[in-house]
Amino acid sequence: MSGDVNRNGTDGATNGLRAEVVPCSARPIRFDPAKCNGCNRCLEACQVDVFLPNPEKGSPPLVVWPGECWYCGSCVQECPRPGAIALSHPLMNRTRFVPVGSSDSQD
Amino acid sequence: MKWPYENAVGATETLSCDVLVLGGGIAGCWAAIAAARKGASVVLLEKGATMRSGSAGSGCDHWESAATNPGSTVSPEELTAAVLDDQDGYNNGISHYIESREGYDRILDLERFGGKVRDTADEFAGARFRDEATKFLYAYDDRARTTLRVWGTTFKPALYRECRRLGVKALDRTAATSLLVSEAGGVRRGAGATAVNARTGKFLVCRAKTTVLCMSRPARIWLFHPDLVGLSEFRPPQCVGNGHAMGWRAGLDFTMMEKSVPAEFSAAGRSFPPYSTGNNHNTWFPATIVDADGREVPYLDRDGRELRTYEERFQPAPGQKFFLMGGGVDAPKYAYRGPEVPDFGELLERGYRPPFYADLSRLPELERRAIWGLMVGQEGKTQVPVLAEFTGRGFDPAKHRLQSYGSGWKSASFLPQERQLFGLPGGLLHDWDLRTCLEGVYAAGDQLFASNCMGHAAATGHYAGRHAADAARATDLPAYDEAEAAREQARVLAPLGSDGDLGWKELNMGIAKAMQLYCGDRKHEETLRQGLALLGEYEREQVPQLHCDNPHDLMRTLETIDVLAVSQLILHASLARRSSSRALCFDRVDYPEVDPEADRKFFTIRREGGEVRTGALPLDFHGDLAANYARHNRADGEDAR
Ligand SMILES: Cc1cc2nc3c(=O)[nH]c(=O)nc-3n(C[C@H](O)[C@H](O)[C@H](O)COP(=O)(O)OP(=O)(O)OC[C@H]3O[C@@H](n4cnc5c(N)ncnc54)[C@H](O)[C@@H]3O)c2cc1C
Ligand code: SF4
Ligand code: SF4
Repeated sequence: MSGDVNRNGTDGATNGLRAEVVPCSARPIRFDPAKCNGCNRCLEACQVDVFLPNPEKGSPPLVVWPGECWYCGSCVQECPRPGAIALSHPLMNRTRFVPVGSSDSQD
Repeated sequence: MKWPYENAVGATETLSCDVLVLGGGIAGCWAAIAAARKGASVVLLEKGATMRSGSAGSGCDHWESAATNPGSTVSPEELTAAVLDDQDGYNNGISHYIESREGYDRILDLERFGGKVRDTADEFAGARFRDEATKFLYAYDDRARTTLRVWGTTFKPALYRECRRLGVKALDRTAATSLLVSEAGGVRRGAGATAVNARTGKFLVCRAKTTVLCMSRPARIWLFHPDLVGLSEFRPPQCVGNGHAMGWRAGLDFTMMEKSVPAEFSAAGRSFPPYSTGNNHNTWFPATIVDADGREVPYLDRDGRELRTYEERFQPAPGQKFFLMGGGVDAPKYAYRGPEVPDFGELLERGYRPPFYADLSRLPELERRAIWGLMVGQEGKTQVPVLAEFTGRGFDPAKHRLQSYGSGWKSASFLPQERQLFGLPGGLLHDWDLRTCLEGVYAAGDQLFASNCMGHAAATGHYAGRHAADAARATDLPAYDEAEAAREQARVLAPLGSDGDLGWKELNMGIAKAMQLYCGDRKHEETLRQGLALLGEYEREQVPQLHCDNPHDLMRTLETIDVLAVSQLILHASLARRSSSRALCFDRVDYPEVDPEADRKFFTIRREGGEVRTGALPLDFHGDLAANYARHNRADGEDAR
């Protein structure tokens, strides 16, 4: 393998990259800042790349694209600190369950 | 906020290698591993993060069609013949034969890489579905034993480690955008690919002797939700068919692209998250289904005979050698139909009361633990959002029943015009080396036509990777057209610098509505042409208006441009078939005749110099499976192992 980087083409006009949190009706990811040490392993595991690193070192990543979340759980799977990050389905997607002995007709 | 990553917009990096793999899911990782094992220098480009990327990134629970595993009683030839016949021939004989023949070798690979494929901890000792000697756990048909239950959460990290151990240069957050093509001496051949970094915007030119396409299948064509983008479809949201769009632009042949099915999954409104509802399919087979009063719903065999015991749910019917079940099998023909409960409509007529539930408390304890704990747990998207989440909410499978929201494994009803490439959709056409029509360009996994499932992706990935490595040994690094690469760089970066103000979501909404209107369940020449005209207008007038502010949104923007290209491909393919077809779920209102003999063939389609070219191939173009396999592989089988 061989490689080289040519930076001559860098175009000054496109240098102002920026991002804002994109609002979403759901909140897939919640952090517990008391448990999270900002190691960014969740961020690196996310194939959709919904996070950006927190400018404040040691703080949880920012969920910038919550609406793009695939709800796969890989971020939680890779977090070394139990409870630092939690994933939950939007309200409308939470399935209902009932005790086995019950009958809906007596509800 | 300020962009936290390096800004390398405008910079170009050039790399070269023997074998370039595009897409680092199951197929791509195995392609890279197989090529590296043969001594090739390998670059792998993955848009997400290879360790957990792809459909099976967070897990998977079934390994299907492992016909050569020691417990199997079905041969690869028998199994492939059955899946071909089940689809009236509209299925991929080559790739499914490779899957049946080599899937078990890949299971053994995984075990060597540190993945878990058998019950080494004896958690299921004595279970009906366990082989005590090998400790393999089986699913579905207990006599055929071609499908294994596996610990899929361990797979991607193990594959990633193996890629790195073998020296594969895996570049994450790198989205491939186009194929490089060399035209030297009148021969067109693949020369690598271009890509863009999804965090820095750096443009990459990766030259290669051979290239393997493993970027899965299209999505967001009919189904798009701008608020819950990630839930629009079943597969990961960054998998939208970039590989198809790239292939279409480079003149590769496709087939079966006219096929789409009524939508099955979209949790952005209609469905519930997969595997999180009570059902008796796939991960949840063979759960007991009960009605609102707790009345048990019977399993029936294919002749409608009521099955009395739990054990019978795994048995073929009298006179049936084996039944088919799993990812590529939706509504099997009589010959292959297994035990099933009647659909809910029929149950209501028979006096059962809605809603229905899955009740695992009525299963033997080891089966209950296998479904809730092993399968729900190891299956993709279940360990955290289903198993842990529901347990946290108090769900206990011995004490609770879980509601069902639809017959079969669907948990929703859709509108007829809401369609999806699901199950066994169209894709790239290829030969017995898994080579596309362009020399030096190979493909594997869900990017191939009529392809589905993890074992299939693993087996075809490995197969394509080793054939690509063999071909690379016989060639020099092809030249590529530098002017073409520069044009591609300008195209790719345009939305970052554009004066327009169109966002990618608005365009994707426009495409989805156009496809629902003009390429829905009932197709007609006039509407298909109107669809093409509208999408052509979008391409000419709207695409140049696309604007975004950072490389992440650039990636989504480029995806949407590719969704547009794939939609055009689907419209063209739909125009090319002038009859209707059962297996292709294809209804031409203007050509209502279903599967006329003259059209019982694969129609092929590609773009050449701006023109669309169509062709046809016989449904049995794969020829004699065993003989062709032998002709294209080493006789001692050493390559496959
Ligand atoms: C939730 C879920 C559960 C499943 N469970 C099972 C199961 O239990 N058993 C089973 O057999 N099958 C299962 N499947 C199907 C199976 O996972 C897939 O068929 C299989 O993983 C496909 O492999 P692939 O390599 O073709 O695609 P994928 O594994 O999806 O990988 C495609 C990769 O390409 C990358 N990519 C896309 N575009 C680009 C680009 N432009 N540049 C670079 N990279 C790109 C993506 O990021 C992704 O990593 C499941 C699927 C899902 C979604
Ligand atoms: S949530 Fe976990 S993985 Fe993510 S930054 Fe915090 S500690 Fe690290
Ligand atoms: S659940 Fe999956 S898609 Fe969502 S943030 Fe976590 S890793 Fe990313």
